[in-house]
Order: sequence, then structure tokens, then C-alpha cells
Amino acid sequence: MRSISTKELQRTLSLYLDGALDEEAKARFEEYVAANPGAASELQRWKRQQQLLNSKPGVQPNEWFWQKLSLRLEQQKSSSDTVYPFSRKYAQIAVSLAVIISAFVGIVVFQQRTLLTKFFSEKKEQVQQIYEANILQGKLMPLFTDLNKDQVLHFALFGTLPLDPQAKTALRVDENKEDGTRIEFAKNEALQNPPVTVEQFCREIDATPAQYRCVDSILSSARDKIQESVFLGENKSLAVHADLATFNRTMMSNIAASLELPQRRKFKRYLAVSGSPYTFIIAPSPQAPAPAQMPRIPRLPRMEQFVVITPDSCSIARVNIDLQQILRNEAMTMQEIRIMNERTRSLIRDFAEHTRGQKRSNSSLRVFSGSDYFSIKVEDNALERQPNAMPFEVIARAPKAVQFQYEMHQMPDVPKIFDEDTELPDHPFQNSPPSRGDWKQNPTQSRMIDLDSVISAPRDRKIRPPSDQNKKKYENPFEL
Amino acid sequence: MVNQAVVRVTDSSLDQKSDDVLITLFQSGEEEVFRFLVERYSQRVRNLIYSIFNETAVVDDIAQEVFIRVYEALPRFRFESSFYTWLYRITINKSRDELRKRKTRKFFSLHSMLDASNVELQSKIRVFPDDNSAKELVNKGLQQLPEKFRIPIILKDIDGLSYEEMAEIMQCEIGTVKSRLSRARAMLRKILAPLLDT
Repeated sequence: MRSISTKELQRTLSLYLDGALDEEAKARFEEYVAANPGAASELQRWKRQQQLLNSKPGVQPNEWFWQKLSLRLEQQKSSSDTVYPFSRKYAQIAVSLAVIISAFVGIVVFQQRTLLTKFFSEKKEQVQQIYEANILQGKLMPLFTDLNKDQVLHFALFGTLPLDPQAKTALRVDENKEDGTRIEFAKNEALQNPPVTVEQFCREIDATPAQYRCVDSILSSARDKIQESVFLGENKSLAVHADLATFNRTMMSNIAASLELPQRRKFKRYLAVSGSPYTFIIAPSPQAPAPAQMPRIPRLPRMEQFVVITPDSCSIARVNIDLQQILRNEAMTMQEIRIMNERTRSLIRDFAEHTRGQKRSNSSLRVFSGSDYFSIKVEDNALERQPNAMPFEVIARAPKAVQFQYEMHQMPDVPKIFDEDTELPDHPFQNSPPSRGDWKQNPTQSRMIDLDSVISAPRDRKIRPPSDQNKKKYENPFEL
Repeated sequence: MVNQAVVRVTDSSLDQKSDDVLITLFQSGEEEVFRFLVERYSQRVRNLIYSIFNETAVVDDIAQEVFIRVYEALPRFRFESSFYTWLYRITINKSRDELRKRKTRKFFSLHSMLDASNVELQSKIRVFPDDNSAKELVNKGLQQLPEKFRIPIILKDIDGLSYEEMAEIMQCEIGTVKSRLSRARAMLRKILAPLLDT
């Protein structure tokens, strides 16, 4: 074998020791080593070095290695679970990215601030519109439905509309306050002012017949306006037209404008004597537009600004309330009641015609009928009742049954129970609370002492109280 | 590729299962089998670290970091290599990280320390060492090798791995492995010349 360099010898020695030489190369190398003592001694030294390395002792075993490792694993797990949503080594990258993104977003927002401001303003307006559209959901009822002109005149002169004379509560408006207009539902000492009538007022100011008619016309128009200005919602909300606070002064100004100078002086004196908080002066500028007839509160339905009060909010909302539609709905309800009554009468007639001359005394369920009534009697054993179903026995309070006159067809031996003059139960308005306008007629119902009761009390009243004529008509719904 | 079907087995039988089965169980949520992998390989990992650093103090710390890394990466293990070569690669990488840190920390005093240890080593070698001290001198001689040459000689002459396994662990060609191994042995031969020539 030819002579080889030191580097090549080292490489061949390494491969030879690892058994990585093929058979031919291995044979040639062994031949070279045999012929070269220096290479042979070098091979022996490499072998010894390999033996030393191979016999190198390892580290002492650690019996607690797993326990320590598992503890660290638990710590690692808990810290990565609680602090970072990613591996901790990415924390710096995440922070850098967050800073870059924040800076980018900041620059974009700064550059587009005008558009963004406009966008958020529009969104805010939309949200406000949606809120206003939904704030008065449910059934609405006008609070003042049966105002008379005397009460309207009182409102014009004193700024108060009585709600409950016993509790001295009232709706009070005032624009004289420096902090703006006020609409209050509260106790009002001004109610101690003597009630004023239109006739008395016109006599006090010596109004001519034409002026009387003019004042009467103003009050009539004002009554409609007030009726359209205060509503109670089904969700315990109260909506008051935002311009109601100035409405009484508009009325007074119109009344003063309809009077001649002598009557106007007397009107002014009357205001002072009667304790009214208002007076009037001639408008300082002749160019000032004359006050139009009720200019501030136009005819509904329109999107009008109302002050809406709910148990947990108070806001000014632009809402659409159609009083005429509300009244039409009530009229439709009344019409439906009429139809139902007519059907009931028809049923009674048909039943009376069908059962005339028949006798069913053996039945445990008996029906008696006449030309304008029918009565159903159920024997105790007719129905299966569980004993002791009720904890208390409920009995009639009246010691004597009210007699009711009718012509017996099937059971002449059955005693008369009802009298024709007795008011039949369950007519539509038996349980309806009186209107706020009826407080004079039914003072016992007027017990409101705070705003909450003002809001909540009329909620049960689903149907507008009928006029006197309608009341008479429905007191006996079975009347043919 | 092992079957992915997971079968819950008892602890006693788990000890006999292959690495692939244990890894499959781990990946299917049976994390407790990780203990068997640790117990199976912890001593080999510790010995490898000890051979690289020749310090018992750092062995457990680095070994724990290795197994924590294995625990984190094991759910993504794709069975493209054997588990122990993958484990050795992680161990080598962690050891390199530690060596790099030390190099940075001791930059200014590195040469003086090496010189001092060389002088100490040479003086000890010249005094006819017995068998135990000869092994200790071999350990210290290994530390004189650069990391690039120290790792191949440890993997081959101490752990007895094949060229292919070494290439996989060191992430290089087999020819590179052979070349580095040859140079490493020659360098160590030169360092241990006083010991080997006696």
C-alpha cells in the first residue's frame, strides 16, 4: 500500500474503528498497518482512546427525577393556562404585534376621524329613533278624556289641572322658573283657588255675547289639545307633550286678544284678585307676529316631541300618537260588545223557543229560559268534585237571595231567584275605574298622592268610559 | 405508523409498550403515559448532558427542560423519526443553547480559563494516572473539544449510535458526520497524547 497522509490516515482509522470500511478497503488498510509500525501503534492508541470513552461512567441516577419533572410540568401548565393564551416564548412577539396594530389603528382613526364621527352620529341617531319608536309600546290612553271647559279655563288661569281633589294632586305647568319649563304631577296648593266657571268668568269681565262665544271656542279647542297632550302607556309610562308647559299661557294670550280694552282691563284685574300667577302686557314690538290659535301643539297624528317618563327612565322622544285611532279602537270595542250582546239575546230566544213546553226535572243539569233570560242550574251530584279541594268554604255574603221576576216555562215549582230591576252582573263597565275627569262624580276613586300612582292607577282601564247615554244603554245588556 | 385506535391499558402493561404506542396514547389524551417515556429515557438523556458538560449540577435542570419541551411538542409528533433520535435532537439543541449562553456570559474570561484548564490538564496527565483518574482526564479532554466536534464523538463512542442516527440528530449529511468524527478523534488523541503514549 502506498504511503498516505496523516489526515487520510486519521480518516481511515476512524472508519476502520467504526467498521465502516468495505472489505477491500479494510484489507488494504490492514496490509498497510502490518507493513507500517507507526500506523499500527497509532491504531492501538485510537483503540485505547475509544475504550476509555466507551467505559466512561455516566451520571448517578436520580430517583426523584420524575417527581421534580412532574412538579415543573404542573407549574408550566398552570402558568401557561392562566397568563398567556399561547406559548410564553411568543409573548414578546405578541406584544410587538399589539403595539404595531394599535399604532396602525390609531393612525387610521386619526385620518378618518371625520367619517368616523359622522358614522357614529348616524348610528346614535338610529338607536335613538329605535328607542323612541319602542318607548311607548302597548296600549295608550289619554289621561284627560272628559275635561269640561271650566277645568280648561282653570288650567289657563292657574296652570293646573286637578287630578284628585281629595289628595290635592294636580298636573301643574310653569314657565316662569329660570331653569326652564316645568310639568309636574304633584300636590298643589293652588288647587285651593276657588273653582271658576266660564259663565262666572265672563260675568266678571263683562264679556259681550260675541266675546263669550269666542272664549268658549278657544276653551273648546284647547280641551282637544290637552286631550292630545298627556298619555298613559301600558308599560307604566307617561308621555307629556313637550309644549304643554307653555300651552296655558298661549290660551290666556288668545283670550286676552279676543277682548276689547275695557274687558281686557277687567280680565287683568280678575287675574290679580283671583291669585293667578300670570298677567299679560301688550307685546312690545308691533312687528311681532300675532299669536296664532294654538300654534304650539298641532293636530295629531304627527311625529311630536313628548317627554316620556317610565319607572326607570326619563327622556324626550319624538313619537307618533294617533288619538283619533285610539278613540276609534275604543269605539270598535264598544261595537263588538253590542254584537256579543245581540248574539246572547238571540241565543236566549232560540233556546226558549226550542224548549217551550218541555220538562226536564229529572236531569241534574237544568236550564231555565224565558224571552229575555236563561238560567243554568247544576245539582251538587252532577259534577265529580274532590273533597276538601279548597281550604276555606266560600259563601255568599248577602243573607237573602235577590229575587228576579221571570215567566216560568219548564219548572213552575222552582222559586224565583232574580228580580227584573236587579242590575245584571258583569256589564262591561262594572269594574272600570272612573276617568280622571270624573273625579267630581266619584271622589272616592281619587286617592292618588304621588306620580307612581298617577301612572299606575289607570292601567287597568282598557275601555273608555261610556257617555251617560251609553251607560244607560248598557246597564241592561239583555234588553230587547 | 401505529394504529390510532386508543385502548386503555393498565400501568403494568404500559411499561412494556413501544414508544410509538405510548406516544399514540399520549396524543389521544392519556397524558399519564408520559411518565413511562421519561423513566425509559431520562437516564440516557442525563448521561448525554453529563458527557457534554461534565457537570452534575446542570444535568437535571437541562434534562427537565428537555422533557418539558418534549411534553409540549409530543402532541405534534408525526412518527417520521424514532422517538429517541427526536429526543436526542432536542437534548443536543438544549445543550447548545446552554453552551451559547455560557459563551456569552464568559466571553471576556474564556481564553484565560481555557488556558488555565489546559495547563492543569497537562500537569495531571503527566503524572501517570490510575484508571479512575484516566477516565476523569478523558472527561476533561472532551471538554477541550469545540462543541461542533464534541457532540459527534459523544454520540458515537459513548452512546454508540450509527452514522445515520447521528446525521438525523445533528441534522447534517452522513459524510459530514464521518468527517467531524474523524477530526474529533484526532483532536482528542492530540489532547490525550501524554496519557495514550505512556
